[in-house]
Amino acid sequence: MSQYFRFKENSTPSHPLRPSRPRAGKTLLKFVALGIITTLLAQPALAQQNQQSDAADYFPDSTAIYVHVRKPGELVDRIENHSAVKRAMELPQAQEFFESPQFAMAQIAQKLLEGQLEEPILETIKENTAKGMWIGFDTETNGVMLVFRADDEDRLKRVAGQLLKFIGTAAQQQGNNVEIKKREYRDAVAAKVGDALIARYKDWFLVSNKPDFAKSFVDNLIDKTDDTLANQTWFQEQLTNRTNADVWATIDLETARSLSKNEELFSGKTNNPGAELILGGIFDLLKNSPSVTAELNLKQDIELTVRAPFDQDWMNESREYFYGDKISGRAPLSLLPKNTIANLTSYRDVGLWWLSKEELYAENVIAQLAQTDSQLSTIFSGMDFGQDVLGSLQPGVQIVVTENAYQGENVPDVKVPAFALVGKLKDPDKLQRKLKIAFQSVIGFANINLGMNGQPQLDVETEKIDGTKLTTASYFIEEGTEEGLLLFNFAPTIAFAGEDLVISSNRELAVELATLLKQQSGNPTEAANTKMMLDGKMLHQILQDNIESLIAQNMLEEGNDRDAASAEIQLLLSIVKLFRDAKAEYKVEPEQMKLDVQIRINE
Amino acid sequence: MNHGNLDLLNQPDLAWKPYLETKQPDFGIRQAAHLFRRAAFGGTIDEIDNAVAKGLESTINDLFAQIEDDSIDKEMETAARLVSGSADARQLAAWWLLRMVRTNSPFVEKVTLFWHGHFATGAEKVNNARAMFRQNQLLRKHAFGKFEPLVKDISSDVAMLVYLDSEENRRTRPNENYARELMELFCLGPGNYSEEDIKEIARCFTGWTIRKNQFRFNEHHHDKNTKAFLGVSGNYDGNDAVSIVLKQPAAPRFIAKKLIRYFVADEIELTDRFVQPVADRLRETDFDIRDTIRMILTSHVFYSPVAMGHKIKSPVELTVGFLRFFEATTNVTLLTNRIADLGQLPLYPPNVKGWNGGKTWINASTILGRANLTADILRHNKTKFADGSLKQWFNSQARLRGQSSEAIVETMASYLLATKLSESTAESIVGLANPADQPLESVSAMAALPEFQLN
Repeated sequence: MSQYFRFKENSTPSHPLRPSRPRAGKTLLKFVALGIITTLLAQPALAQQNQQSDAADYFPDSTAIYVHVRKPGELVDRIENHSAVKRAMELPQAQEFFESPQFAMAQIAQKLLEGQLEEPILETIKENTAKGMWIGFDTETNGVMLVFRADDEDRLKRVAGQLLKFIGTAAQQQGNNVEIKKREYRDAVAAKVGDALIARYKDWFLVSNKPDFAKSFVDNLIDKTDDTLANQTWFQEQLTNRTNADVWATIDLETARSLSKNEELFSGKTNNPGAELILGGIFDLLKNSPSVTAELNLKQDIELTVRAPFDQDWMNESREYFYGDKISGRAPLSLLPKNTIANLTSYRDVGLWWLSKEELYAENVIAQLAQTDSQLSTIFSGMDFGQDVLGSLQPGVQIVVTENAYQGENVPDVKVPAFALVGKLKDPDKLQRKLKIAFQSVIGFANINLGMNGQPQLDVETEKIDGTKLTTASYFIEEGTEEGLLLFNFAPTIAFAGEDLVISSNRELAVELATLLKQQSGNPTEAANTKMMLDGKMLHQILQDNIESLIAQNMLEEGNDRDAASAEIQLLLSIVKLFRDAKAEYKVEPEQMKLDVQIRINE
Repeated sequence: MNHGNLDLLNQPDLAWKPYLETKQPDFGIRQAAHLFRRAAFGGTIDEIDNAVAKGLESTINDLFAQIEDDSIDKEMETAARLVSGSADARQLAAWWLLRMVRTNSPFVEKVTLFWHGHFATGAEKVNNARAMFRQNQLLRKHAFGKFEPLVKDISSDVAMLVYLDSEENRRTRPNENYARELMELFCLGPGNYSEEDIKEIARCFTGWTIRKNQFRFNEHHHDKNTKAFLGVSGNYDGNDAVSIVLKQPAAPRFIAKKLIRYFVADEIELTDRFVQPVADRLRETDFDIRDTIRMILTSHVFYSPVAMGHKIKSPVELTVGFLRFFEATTNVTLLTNRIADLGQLPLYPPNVKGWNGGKTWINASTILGRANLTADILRHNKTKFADGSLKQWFNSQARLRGQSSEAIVETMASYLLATKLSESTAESIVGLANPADQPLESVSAMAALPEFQLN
C-alpha cells in the first residue's frame, strides 16, 4: 500500500489509445523508404532498448520533441567538479552571494527538503535518475513532461512520497493556494499539484503540466502498446544518428511546422536582409526538413552538434549565393592575424545575393534595397553597387576582428576593435583602380560631413608594401583637437594584393591580412560552408580595455552607482575569463546539414 | 487653474515678505514637500520629515549647502566623458538624467535645468556631445552665481555659437541671431529693444567664432568701429554689449519673471508691480541668482495657495521626482527615450525659446503617456527601490510600516501629492489594492492621478 491516501478515480483506462496520428503528406518517398528500412533494421535495437526501457517507448506517438539526458547523476557530478564552476565559486561575487540572506534562505529550504527526504538532495537526484531522464513535448495535449527512472523502486517510492509531503507543507506555510489531490490511476500513484500531475509507476517518475499526457505515458507503460514515439518513422530515422551524448534531443519539424504560429520561420524566407545573408540556407531546411537532432556533451568543454536531413531539391534556386553550385560552396580559409578576437568566414556570393533580392524578399524590402542601391551607386562614383561593386567579388567573404592598434597620443576613450572584410576580386586588373577611386569618393563624402561638423578630416595616402597596394585614410589631428574621440579608432584602408581585396578599419590590420593572404598558396578553403571563432582571452582583453566605458553604460542602463556598476562589470570580466574560445562550423552536405559548436573552457 | 488667495498678487510687499515673518507661518509636511518639489525634484519621506523637524530656515540653509557638494562629480565625470565621445548627445541626456536621480545636490540640477531651458541649445544642431557637455557644466558652474558672468560665458560657449550661428558672424556679414536672442529671450524680453539695437549688438559679436572646438576671437573678422545701441555708443565688443544690455531696467524684471514662473507658478499673470521686489533684489545684488532664489523660496507667496499645487510637473520633474521619492534607480537610457515622447528630452529643446512648460505639458496623449511611464518604471525589471523591491521599500518606511491601507494612502498622498487627496479618490485607491501587499498597484494608481501631475 502506498503511503499516499488512495481513492478510486475513474479507473477506466484511457486506452484503446489514440490512433496513430496521420502524418502530414509532405514527407518524401525517399524518407518513407528509408523509414521502412530503418524500422526493420532498428527492431532488434528497439527490442534491446525496450529492455533498457527508453521513455520513447512510452511517450505517445504525438510527441514532437524528445530530449534524453543519459546519466543525469554523472552530469551533475561533472558540472559540480568542473574547474570553471570551482573557479566561479571562488569569485568574490559568488562568495558575497553565499553570505547573502537569499542564499541563507535557500540553504534553509534545502535543509528542510533534505530532512524530509532523509538524504542530500544531490544524492536524491543522482540515485533516482540512475536509468536516465527525459523530457517530452506532446502536440495533442500541448503538454511538457519530465520523466526519470530510478534503479531502486523502493527508494523512489519513499522519495516521491516525501517530496509530495514537502510540497504540501511548503505551500501551506507560504499560504499558496496550491491544491494537492492524491490520485490513483491504474497501478500508478499520482498527485495533482495545481494543474500539474506528478505520478510514479514502479521505478518511473513523471511530472507533467498536462495530466492527459502523463496518463498516456502510464497507459503505454502498462499496456506496452505500439502507438508510441519509438515506433514513429521520423523518430526511428533519427535513431540512426543517435550517439552516447550526455544529452540527445530530436524534434519532429513537420509537426512543429503544422502547429507553429510563426509563419515566417517556416516559410523558407525572411524579410531581414542581414538574417538572409547569414542564415538563408537554414530557412530552406526549416521549411522542408522532416526533423532535427541535437547532441550535447558537457565535459571540460561544451560540444553541441545539430543535424538535420537535407535534400538539394529543397534548395531555393535564388539561394545559390548561399550554397554555391550544387551545394559545393566552401568558406575561404580562416585568417588569424595576431590578437584576433573573432573570425567569420563563409561561402557567400554577395554579388549574386544582391542580384537575387527580388526573389528573396517581399516588395517593401526590395524597394528599400533598391533605394540603398541607388544611394550607394552615387557614393561609389556611379558604379552600380550590386553589379559593379558587390559583383566584382568572387564568392567567399571573411570578416576578421582584432585588437586595435593605436599610435601616438590619439587614443580613443572607447576602444573599438579593428575589423576587416576580406574577399577576392574577379578581375583585379580591371577593378582595383575602380574600387580605389570609389574608396576615395567615399572618403571625400566623409570629409565634407566631418568638415561641416568641425571634426578632424581624413587624409588619404597610397603606398605599396611588398607588392600590396594600400590606400589609407587617416585622421589629420592638429594640436588642440578634442581628446579621446571615438573616431580615433579608425583609419579606413583598402588593400589590393593580386586578386585579394582587404577593406579594413585600420591600416595595420590590412597590412597583416595581406601578408597572410600572400602566404597562402591557391585558394584554400575550409570544409564548412560557414565557420566562426571567438577568442576568450582577446574578448577579455577588449572588455578590460573598455572597462570605464562598460561601467558608464552599466550606470545608464542599470541605474547603478559607480561602485555597483564596477562590481557588475568585474563579474562579467571574471566570467569571460573562464572561457577559452568558441568555434562553430556549419556544413551543408548532400543529405544533411550539420552545425558543430564547441565552447572551450579554461583549465 | 484656481490660484486662491490671489490678493497676494496685488500686494507685492506682503507676497515677497519672508514667510517666517508672516503672522502664522506653518512649515509642516505639506510645505516641506512643496519646497522639495520646487527646489529639488521632490524629497523622500525622511528628507521631508527632517525638514519639518528642523524648520524652514535650517532646511533652506541645507538646500543651499548642496551647492558646495561636489561628490556626484567624482562619480559621474568619467562617465560623462565616455558618453560624449561621439556627436550624438542622447546618451549624454541619459547621463544627465542619471545625475539628477543620483545626486546629493538635486537643487543644483534643478537650477541647471532652469538655465538649460533659459539658454536653450539643441544638441541636434550642435551635433557635438562634448560641446553640449561643456555647456551643461558651464550652466551648473554659474547656476547660483551672478547673472552677468553667466551671460558672458554662454555668449562664447561653443554649443551656443553653433546653435545660433554666431560662428558665422563677421564684420562683412553680421549674423543677428545671437544679438536678437540675447535681448529677446535671454535678458530683456520683447519690446525692450529695436531692430537697430539688434544690428548694432550683432556687430559687437563679430569675430566670435570657433577654432578646434574652442571659442576663438578672430580680430580680423571683428568690427572695430563705433556701435550705437540702447542709448549708448562706443567701440564695444560682445562682453561690453552684455553689460550694457543688463543695465536696462527691463533686465532684472525679465529674469525675475522667469525665476518666478519656474519656482512659484506657471499660469499667474505677472505684473511688473508684483515682480518689482524680486527685480529690485536682482538689481541690488548685481544679479545674484543665489540670493534671489533664496528670496523666492523663503517668501510668503511661495507657501501660499498662489504657488502650492499650481505648477504642472515637466516630464523630467515627474520622472526624476518619482524615482527620488522611492529612492529608485532604473534604466535611464530607456527612460530618456520615454521622456522624449512626453515632450522633454534634456539637451534637445524644441527651439531657442526652450520648452513652453505649464499647461502645454499636458494633452490627451501625454496624460496617458505619463501614467503609463510611471507604471512602466514601477514594473521594469531594472527598477530597484533602495536596492530592493517596492515591497521592501514600503517595509523600510517607518511611516508606512504596520499601518492600515487607509493610513498608508493618506500618508503617501501627503508626501507625494501637491494637493490634498479627496476622500473618494483615497477610497478608490484603497479599494483597488492593499498598498502593503500590492504596493505596485497602489503606487501606479496614485501616480496616474491628475493630482500627481501637479508640482
